[in-house]
Amino acid sequence: MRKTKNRKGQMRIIEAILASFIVFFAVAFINTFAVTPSSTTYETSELEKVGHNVLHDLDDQKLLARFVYNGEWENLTAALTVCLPPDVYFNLTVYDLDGNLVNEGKPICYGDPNVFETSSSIASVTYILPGCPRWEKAELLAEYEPRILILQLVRG
Amino acid sequence: MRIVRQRRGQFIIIAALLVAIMMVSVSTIMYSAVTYYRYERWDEYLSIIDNVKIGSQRVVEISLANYTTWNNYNNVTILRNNLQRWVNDTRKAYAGFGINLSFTEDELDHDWNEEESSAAADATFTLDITSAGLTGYQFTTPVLLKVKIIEDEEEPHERYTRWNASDKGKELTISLIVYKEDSIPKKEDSVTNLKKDNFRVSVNGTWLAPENFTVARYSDATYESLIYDIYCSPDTPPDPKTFLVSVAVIDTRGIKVVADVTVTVST
Repeated sequence: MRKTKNRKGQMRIIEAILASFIVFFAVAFINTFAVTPSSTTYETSELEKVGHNVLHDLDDQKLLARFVYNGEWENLTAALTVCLPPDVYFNLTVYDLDGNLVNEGKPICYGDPNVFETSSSIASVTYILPGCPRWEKAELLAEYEPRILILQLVRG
Repeated sequence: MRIVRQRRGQFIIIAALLVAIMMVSVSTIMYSAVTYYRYERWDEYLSIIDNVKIGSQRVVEISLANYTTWNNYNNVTILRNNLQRWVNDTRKAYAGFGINLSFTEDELDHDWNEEESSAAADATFTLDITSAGLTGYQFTTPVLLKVKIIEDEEEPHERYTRWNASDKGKELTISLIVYKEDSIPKKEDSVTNLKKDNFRVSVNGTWLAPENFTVARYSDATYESLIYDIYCSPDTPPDPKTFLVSVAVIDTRGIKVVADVTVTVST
């Protein structure tokens, strides 16, 4: 039996396969080095994560509610200053449900206030507290009276 | 010029190219699929969930504290009312996230004036965050405070409620254990952080002034928990020589429980 062999097209096939592999590996290689561009709309900034964590940790230890409902603003400022990195400036405002500022005249902040006006990227974190049992004149008050905390953070 | 054409390998070449195109396309689609959710604000959603969970726990605690501390037993709707307000307020606080919190009130009750007394509240929440496509996230918020007075029948344990048992003279010693339950999933954890301010003591219907009793804490291997001993020196009552002792415990969450025990004067 005579076998007809046509070897002229084989090199092309090998070339095509090699070319496809090169294209595939090129795409895979580029993907490993691709840096995803950050989007202020869809990506939570690092500062917001830090802010959320700090407020959550203080609340978990039942310190945050105590500071807010007892008006211990200096202690709250000190706690936030200790918990946040030193190069992060913050400004915390406390509101009741009607939008009235609770800590009026008692700023809870750290760093240069001008930074908050000039910086283009300010992280903002919202946190809600439902209430806190506390003693007043030998009577225990355990009322539902929520406070909304807005923590603004910026790198100094 | 003569062009030599070899057509026999062409189909295979075309097939190989098609396969290559398919591989590149599939890899692109796969990459898009696995990185689609990377750009969602997952950290922010998780923070909101944490905030809502811890806040819900606090609302149940506050409601139980109000219910027990003010002897507000007829106000059985206090938990439901507070939870409804909390549901509305979380929507306001996180406007734009599509927060939808719902709840079922499971328990609000107290069982006082027993040797083993308690106060408990519980609710089950379901959280939806429509902007993240999260639906049906359930969590419960059990809140419990239980006081167990150790009776003298429980000898030969080292610590128990008794009369004239100390070396300090005629004293009434009340031994008790305080248990709590909260968001930490551990049943009836022994409370160890109570101080004298957290206790009130009544003997035969008269509440003692704080300077008339003392509180000490001991770790007990038998009960595997901390035992609080309350010492006081009330006057010996006329016959029948028994003391009706009430101990009120108010923990750091503001929840109150009153436990009673009758102690017979031993001679």
